[in-house]
Amino acid sequence: MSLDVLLQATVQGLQMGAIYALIALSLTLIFSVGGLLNFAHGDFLALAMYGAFALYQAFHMDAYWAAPLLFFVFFALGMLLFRRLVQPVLEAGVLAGAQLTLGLVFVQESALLAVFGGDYLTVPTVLSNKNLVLPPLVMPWTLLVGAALAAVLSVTLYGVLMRTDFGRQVRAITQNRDAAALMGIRIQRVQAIAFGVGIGLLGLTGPVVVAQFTLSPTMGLDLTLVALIVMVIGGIGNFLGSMVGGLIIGVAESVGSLLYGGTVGAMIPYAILVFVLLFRPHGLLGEH
Amino acid sequence: MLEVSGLVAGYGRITILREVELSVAEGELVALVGVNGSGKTTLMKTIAGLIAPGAGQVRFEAAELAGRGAERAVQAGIVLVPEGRMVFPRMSVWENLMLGGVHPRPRPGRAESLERVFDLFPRLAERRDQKAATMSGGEQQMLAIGRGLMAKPKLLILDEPSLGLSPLMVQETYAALRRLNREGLTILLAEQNVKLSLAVSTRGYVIENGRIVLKGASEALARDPATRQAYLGHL
Repeated sequence: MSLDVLLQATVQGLQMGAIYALIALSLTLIFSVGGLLNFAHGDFLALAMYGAFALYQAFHMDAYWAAPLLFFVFFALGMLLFRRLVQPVLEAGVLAGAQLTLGLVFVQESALLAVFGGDYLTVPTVLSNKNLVLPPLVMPWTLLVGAALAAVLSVTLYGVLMRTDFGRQVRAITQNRDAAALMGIRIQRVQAIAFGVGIGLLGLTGPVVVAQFTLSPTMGLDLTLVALIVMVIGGIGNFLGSMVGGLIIGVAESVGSLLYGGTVGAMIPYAILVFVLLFRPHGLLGEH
Repeated sequence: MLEVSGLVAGYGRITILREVELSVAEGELVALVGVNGSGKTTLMKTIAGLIAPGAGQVRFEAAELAGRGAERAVQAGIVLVPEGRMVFPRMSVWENLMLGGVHPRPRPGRAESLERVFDLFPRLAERRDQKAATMSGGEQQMLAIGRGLMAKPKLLILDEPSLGLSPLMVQETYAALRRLNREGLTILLAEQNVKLSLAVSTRGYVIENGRIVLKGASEALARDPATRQAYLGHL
């Protein structure tokens, strides 16, 4: 095992990690909306990837052009879903909200199966099969661009949440809903926008990272699991933790697969989850 | 300024307030006193729009606010500093204060409001970047009041501001309230601490089992045998 190979795996892991970080960050954003666990998170991401596939099939639109379009479509979809489904159901409690998102999993997976069939699909992009060679590193452009965009979006979203009035309102609602209402914050409007942004980011992320995935109707579950693990490792509800957790899981998965093979490598995120929960039950950056 | 009439409110099917009548004129400092569970907090929350009343009116200046929500109350100029302070624990003093003035009505003047709050509570300026949860109860109470002031209230309502504070902190908090009132702010104060709240206020109401049972000038209330017997007897 040469050091070069290890370096390659680490860099590739960091790139996947940036993508995981963004997915987990949007999951955390949605969680901050009244404690809703979005079990359909990965399925929305899958839906966005299929959206990129459909746009390519129909109009030969490249995934990178589809991304901004799908952001707005998913943002609107998220706002609509929140107003019509999530908000009324959340009033019945967090558990009802979890059941709702579990239901959305089946709706989306069945819809994808009905429309696109069960075959594995891939979406070519302008960057497919092109590599950036920086000896000793060889990096696929699709991964590099996907990771760079994910990193920029993560940092931007984090900045918005920590440094703007909108972000402070989102956090205020999470920390004390009644107090937030007393400040005159329009709770449901802020929550709808936060939910819309969370889903919208998935619409943007899907096409950008579609080249890294083989599409199948049930792929969403794996993505949800990774996002959940990342969120729990980082500390549920902690935005910075989600970003750190994403990088950790990305590198661990990549280096682990290199050292121990794919089967063991795939187990490593779960092992890390158990390990973190044993020693820091609230996650790496979680507060009690 | 504030005119509450025939107010009936509670939680779900439990009625707590029964036909409450209460008014506050501009520039007044009015105390609402009563023992724990008498309905003070419910009344404050209903006026501030957190609870929609079953019946009755909450008229503020020209607007009817009953059942219109907390956002509408803040828009009109009613700001509640809630019982238990309810500062945002994982945010800094500065962030808490910014949120206090986040509503579109007070937002344009946040910089001046912030200066005013720091002038009233210099300790908040010193602790600007400290997380609210790590501060003492008295400091959190200052922060809660400061946060309320950031919303540029016409009527500031405080629910049990002395609760759980050291005697020294209670003195400091009440000195701040007196100063704010002297500078022209209208204040409605709900307190279990009858002696203290009647000492700073001009008028008072006594609430018992969700009804106003006594009202009048604070001085007279403090001397009233009924009040004395019920609340001040042991003092």
